[in-house]
Amino acid sequence: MRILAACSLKAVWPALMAYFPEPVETRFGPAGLLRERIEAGEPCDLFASASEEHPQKLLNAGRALAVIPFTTNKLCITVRSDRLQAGDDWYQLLTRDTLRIAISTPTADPSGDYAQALFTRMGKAGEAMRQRAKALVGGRDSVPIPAGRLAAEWIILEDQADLFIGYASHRAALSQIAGLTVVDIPAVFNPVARYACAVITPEARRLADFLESEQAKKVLREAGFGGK
Amino acid sequence: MKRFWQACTLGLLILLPLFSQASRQITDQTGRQVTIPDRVDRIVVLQHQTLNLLVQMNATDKIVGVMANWKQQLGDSYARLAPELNQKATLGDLTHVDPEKLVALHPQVVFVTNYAPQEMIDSITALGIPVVAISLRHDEPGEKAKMNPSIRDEEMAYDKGLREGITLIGEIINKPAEAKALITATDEGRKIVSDRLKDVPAEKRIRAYMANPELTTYGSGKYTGLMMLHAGAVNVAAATVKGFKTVSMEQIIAWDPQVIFVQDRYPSVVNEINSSPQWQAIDAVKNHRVWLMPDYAKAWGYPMPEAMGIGELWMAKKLYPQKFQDVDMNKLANKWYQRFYRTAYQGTE
Repeated sequence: MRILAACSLKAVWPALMAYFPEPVETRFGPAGLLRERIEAGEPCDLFASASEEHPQKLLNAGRALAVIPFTTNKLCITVRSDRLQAGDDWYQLLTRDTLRIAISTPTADPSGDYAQALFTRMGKAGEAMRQRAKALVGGRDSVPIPAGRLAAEWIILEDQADLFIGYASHRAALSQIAGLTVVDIPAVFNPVARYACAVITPEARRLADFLESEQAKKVLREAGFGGK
Repeated sequence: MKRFWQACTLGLLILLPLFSQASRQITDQTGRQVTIPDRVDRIVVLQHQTLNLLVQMNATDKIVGVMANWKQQLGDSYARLAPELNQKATLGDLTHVDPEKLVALHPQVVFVTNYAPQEMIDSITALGIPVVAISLRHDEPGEKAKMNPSIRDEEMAYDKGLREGITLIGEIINKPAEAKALITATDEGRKIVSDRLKDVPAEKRIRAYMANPELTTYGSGKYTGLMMLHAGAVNVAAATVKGFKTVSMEQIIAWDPQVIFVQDRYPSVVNEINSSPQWQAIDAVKNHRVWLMPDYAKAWGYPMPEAMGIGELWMAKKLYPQKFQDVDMNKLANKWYQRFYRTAYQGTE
């Protein structure tokens, strides 16, 4: 079975597939670009997206048999530790205009869309951020992230930006990296990333059923997905 | 300005290896998820079955290192089918590998057998080299990494497992069409046998024994018994022996097989049986039905496409000549060898 899956699932995927009894071949990428590849005819049995929008588009176009939501994620802020000032909270970090903000690419990568949603929820202050934020990863022409590194880690430690807005499922891994500090965003502002898969061939139903199962939910929760 | 561009190019060259090549995660035949590059051009193979499949998928040029005892495992004549193998670096075997030698070859993937020790898999993985385990069996969870697994449905386990194994290897080495051709050719051969032997009742099956050196044989759970079953025989050892085992002469006399098969790689066993007094009481020896198999009829513990595709046909014809009079084994073998080994078949019929 061929799977196309959101980049943010890459780290948890081996642990998930350890409980799925059939062989799978999985390629990862930003969900928006993966959807375009499927539309262009790339063979795929199941598409696991970080947003419901892309699987829904395939369903509407008659390219998928079903759309099944299977987990959620949210955003967090990763900041270069030496940029932190006493008493800084998430809002002060985002509104301090001396800090360079990086996000993923909207449309191509749902992570970028969720960052945009965060700016919208922040009202006027958010509009200024939207102008300042640079989309450094997840786009069609973005420089690829080196193997084994997280976007936030790479961008900040390579000094391309001071803070990165990305998925909270990376929180545990990012917290382990020297020089980085992870800061939570309060729930009222934090958009919920709804992950869904598009079942494209009948065989893929078994995998979709598995992704909805309690076993899969447990693995996803342990990896920082699913929220409370 | 020129110097600026030179510096840029140099910078890019230094940075390039740091950037990830596009990659994918695959499930190997022990159920592990392995991350491998999209394009694989440098392979080390530490399992002779996979080596034989790589050769048949015309991927010998992608092999940068091969298990040291490949000739012993595949037979001396194998080098004729893939002379390039003589020039490849050799290292390790089914259960060991020297990490330093492995690293020096810069492989993008290492193929190992499904029962390769966990320490071996861990030590290769620790070098950052993806390890893919191949079983050619579709096993139940918990049995995947065993040499002699418990199998509920042998037919399904080997039929599905060979297909899955060939497809997986084909996907990994970017040769899916070659993998498909191998599976199709296997199915075509098997259909000839099953069409003609479907009416042989269970009690009329010919009792067969596979004689390996030093009284070793394959019991249940191995492909050998299935090969015999497909060809209208029944493996006398399968009822009481599990896996690859040594048996006693008394046991063989009690089984009293009607035919004895000997694998191509052990020709001396035929002479031993025919000339040893204790074997003379056995039906197969009395009736001169001790047969050396051609090299494509690989009655191994693991199935090979040529064994299923034309080896079973050879065995069926040997057991039921009247049903296969029109089948020209030399012609079929030659067709297979030309297609998948790109050379003529030179063995005997």
